[in-house]
Amino acid sequence: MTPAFQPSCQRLRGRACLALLLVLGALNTLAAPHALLFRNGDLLTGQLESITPTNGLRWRHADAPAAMQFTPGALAEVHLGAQPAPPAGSPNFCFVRLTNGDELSGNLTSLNARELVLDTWFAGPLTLPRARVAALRPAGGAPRAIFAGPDGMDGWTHGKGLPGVANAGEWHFLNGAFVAAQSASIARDVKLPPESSMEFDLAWRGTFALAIALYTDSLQPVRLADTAKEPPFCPFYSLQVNSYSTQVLLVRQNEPIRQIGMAIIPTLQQTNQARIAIKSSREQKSLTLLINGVVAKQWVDPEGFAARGTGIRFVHQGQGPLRLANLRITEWDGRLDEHVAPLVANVKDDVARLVNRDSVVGQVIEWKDGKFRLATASGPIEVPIERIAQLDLATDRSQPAPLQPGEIRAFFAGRGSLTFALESWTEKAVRVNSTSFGKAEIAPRAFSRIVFQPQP
Amino acid sequence: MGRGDGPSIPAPVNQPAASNLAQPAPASLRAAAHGRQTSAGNCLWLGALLLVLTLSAHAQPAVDVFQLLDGSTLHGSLTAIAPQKGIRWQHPASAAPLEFLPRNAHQIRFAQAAPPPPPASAHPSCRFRFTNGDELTGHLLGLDAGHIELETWFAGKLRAPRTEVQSVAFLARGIATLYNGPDGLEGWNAGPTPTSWQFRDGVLSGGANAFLGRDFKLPPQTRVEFEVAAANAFNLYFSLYTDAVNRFNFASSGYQFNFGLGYVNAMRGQGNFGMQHLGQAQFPGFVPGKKMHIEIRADLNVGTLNLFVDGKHIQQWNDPNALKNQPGLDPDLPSKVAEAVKAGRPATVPGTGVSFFSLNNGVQISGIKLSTWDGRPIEDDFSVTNLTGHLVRFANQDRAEGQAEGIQDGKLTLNLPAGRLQIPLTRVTHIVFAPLRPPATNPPPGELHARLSSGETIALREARWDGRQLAGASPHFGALQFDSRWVRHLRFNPGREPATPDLPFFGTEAQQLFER
Repeated sequence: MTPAFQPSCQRLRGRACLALLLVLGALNTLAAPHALLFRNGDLLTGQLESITPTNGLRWRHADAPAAMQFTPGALAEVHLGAQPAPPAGSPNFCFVRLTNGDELSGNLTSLNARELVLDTWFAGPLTLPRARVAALRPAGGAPRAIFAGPDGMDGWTHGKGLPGVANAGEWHFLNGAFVAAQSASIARDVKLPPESSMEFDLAWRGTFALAIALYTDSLQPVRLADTAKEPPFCPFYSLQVNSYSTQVLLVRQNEPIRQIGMAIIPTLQQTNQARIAIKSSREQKSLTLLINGVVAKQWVDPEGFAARGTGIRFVHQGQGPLRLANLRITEWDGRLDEHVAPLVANVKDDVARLVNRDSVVGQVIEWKDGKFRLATASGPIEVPIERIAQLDLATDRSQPAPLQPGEIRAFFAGRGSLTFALESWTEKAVRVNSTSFGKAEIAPRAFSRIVFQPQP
Repeated sequence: MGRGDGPSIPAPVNQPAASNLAQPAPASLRAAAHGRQTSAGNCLWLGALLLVLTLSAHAQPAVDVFQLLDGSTLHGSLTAIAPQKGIRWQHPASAAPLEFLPRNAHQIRFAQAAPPPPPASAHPSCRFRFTNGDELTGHLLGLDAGHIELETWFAGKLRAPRTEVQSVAFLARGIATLYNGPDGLEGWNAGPTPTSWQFRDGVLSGGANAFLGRDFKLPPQTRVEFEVAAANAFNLYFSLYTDAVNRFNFASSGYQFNFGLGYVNAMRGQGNFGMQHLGQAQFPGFVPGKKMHIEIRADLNVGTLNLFVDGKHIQQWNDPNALKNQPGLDPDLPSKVAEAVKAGRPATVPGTGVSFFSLNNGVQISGIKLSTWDGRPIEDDFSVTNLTGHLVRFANQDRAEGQAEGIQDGKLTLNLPAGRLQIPLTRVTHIVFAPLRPPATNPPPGELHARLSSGETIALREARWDGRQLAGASPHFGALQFDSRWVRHLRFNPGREPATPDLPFFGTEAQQLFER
């Protein structure tokens, strides 16, 4: 961190933040085994002890009497286990995307023609040259949480085997996740609101097929081939996703299944895990599937949002092991258009994308008292942060930050990442040197993953 | 030291373990290092050769694999095992060897293991099973009420208490291993593209439509074993006695076994005359990613093919035309047509090769072993229950229960209620000894099981590995040591299974999808 831009009070806040993270980290230290992945595919569990330029990476394993030392050049990743999610309660909490693709989060403190100051949850205030900032996205306040888990089977209903379904199995709760290897159904009435967001991590082996019933009132699987013979149920949407494609069906009793639409998803054949997000809007009559943050398909039901329940159901379709973890269901504000497209050079204007889907083009002069002041062709205007969906800054004066040799990329708990030259990583602190904001000290518990030799 | 110092091992360990620990030889140098120390040659050319070998070996990545029960997997090379220090493993990312206590070690798989040396690889005449699970092949030297004495290729003469012996099988013509691998793709015809198969850690991974064939010059009686795992969809053709070893061909001669999800179809290829369906069989449920052990015992002399899955007999198919000169001839053809067919094509016999052809990607094949077989039943000792005496099976399929008092001068002395008999060993196929106690289900802690290149398994306690020899205490042979080059696999804590790795949490292509 550049000392000139770090007032003493901010330092104190930063230290307090670090202390809080250390306490949280200490509570979790023993519970979260780390994993070291080598570039040759090897895997070693244990605990990261330190990373320094002189000693490389030091690693402890319960069955090894001494710490091991590894050459960073042979390492691919370190997984640091589940970490506490960052706080995001302030209305000024923003996600700031840098020109090198990193993303930092924290409370926006100031923005002017030269710099942006972000009071981060992991390192206190950081001062970023404006030329290194690509975009800014207010978090918009924390949406109301509906469900977070799973943390067990309580509250969930196992599906009974359907006639004619061979090898019926069950979802099991294992290591913080639902796991199933055969046909299985699990359901819960989570009281889905009309506008909802559901996200989860999905991992599989080989190929997979998963059906997700949305807004259902049935906690038991429904045979789509013969809905008339099923116990009474209200209409629901069945979002089906497999290794190759996705489709949404409207399922109603005593009526034919109606396909709302399907799409091919080529990317899922090339991986074995994905972050799945499903945004549902009764008002917009839509369901939107995002895979790893990218919209894979949006369905709009031309006849209106027909589903009537408030429950969800995950139905493993019988094609190999599936793991479902980090399920988060929240209310949704209907905002979808987060632009993370590659930067376009020489854009001379800043663009403020508003919540109501309008845009304002001009120059962001400053951020003050919760409002952005913009100079537009029609004169200066002020826009409250609550109305901003995303602010894309002009690129004509932006500074690219090419990856430097030896830099690593660390991913924060929750979201975001930081690329930096590592000065040292110990159990107490991570000392980084960033080309964007200089030196800083970060609590190790802020990170969930380290990638060595990252791709640009 | 027990009675196990055989002629194949010329010298005992001549260096203290600490010395060897300090300067270990990489696994890929196991053969070179051993040669340097056992031959004791001083020739300059040998030194130069070793230097070249050393340099080239250093340039190659180590390929032996060490796995722990917690799911950790490390490539590299074993440098030492010592009772106090544990396992020392040289990993390419670490300058110093890594040390692990063996309490949670799972296994070490060596990429290569030297076959038995030629003089000693003469066909063994017996297979010995011991009550602790040890299995050895060799020659029976003597047996009496107190002891059994045998000669092995890897440790010479061994002597053990008779009570430790579970069974002795007499092999009519001995057995010969035709192939034991895979150690790579060399020697195989792989296609259709150069990347159709990938080899890693003893496992061949195939893409869709991947073909693998090889002519092994199979004799009429053959035992074929392999392990297969598949991600999800499973549609594998295994061809035996095929004449098509360069590409998959439905119009080939030989036998085809089409494995699917829980079923197998057996077919007889008749060249251009199509396939004759021999029958279908079901086998226990397919589990994605889990290895299945497939074994086929083919005896074309009598026209039988027996399939075993995970050690369980699934089906016998009969083919009375197995060894006829024109096996492809449909017996139901009208005689005039049959004569015309005979006249129009040369005599054909089934081929002598094997092939794998997978329609789906994600198939993994490992543990391929082909061996000659004498056609005699290979019966599971554990299927024999409630023995009050010793069960003796004879070549004419008879069996008798009595007291096998001893073997001497090529004859078995069998005490039966009707009297004592002297039976030539040529008439005996199998002796199963009445157990004095139930077989141990949990091996003692700290025991290590070593599997050799020819398939033998030996339990050792207080095991020591110094880069040249594996030594330890056998429960029945006493102190034992043999050349480490012959070891293919070391299993630690054999009573415990590794934790099933959590489903993928790494997003890289290096993620291993299957147990290895």
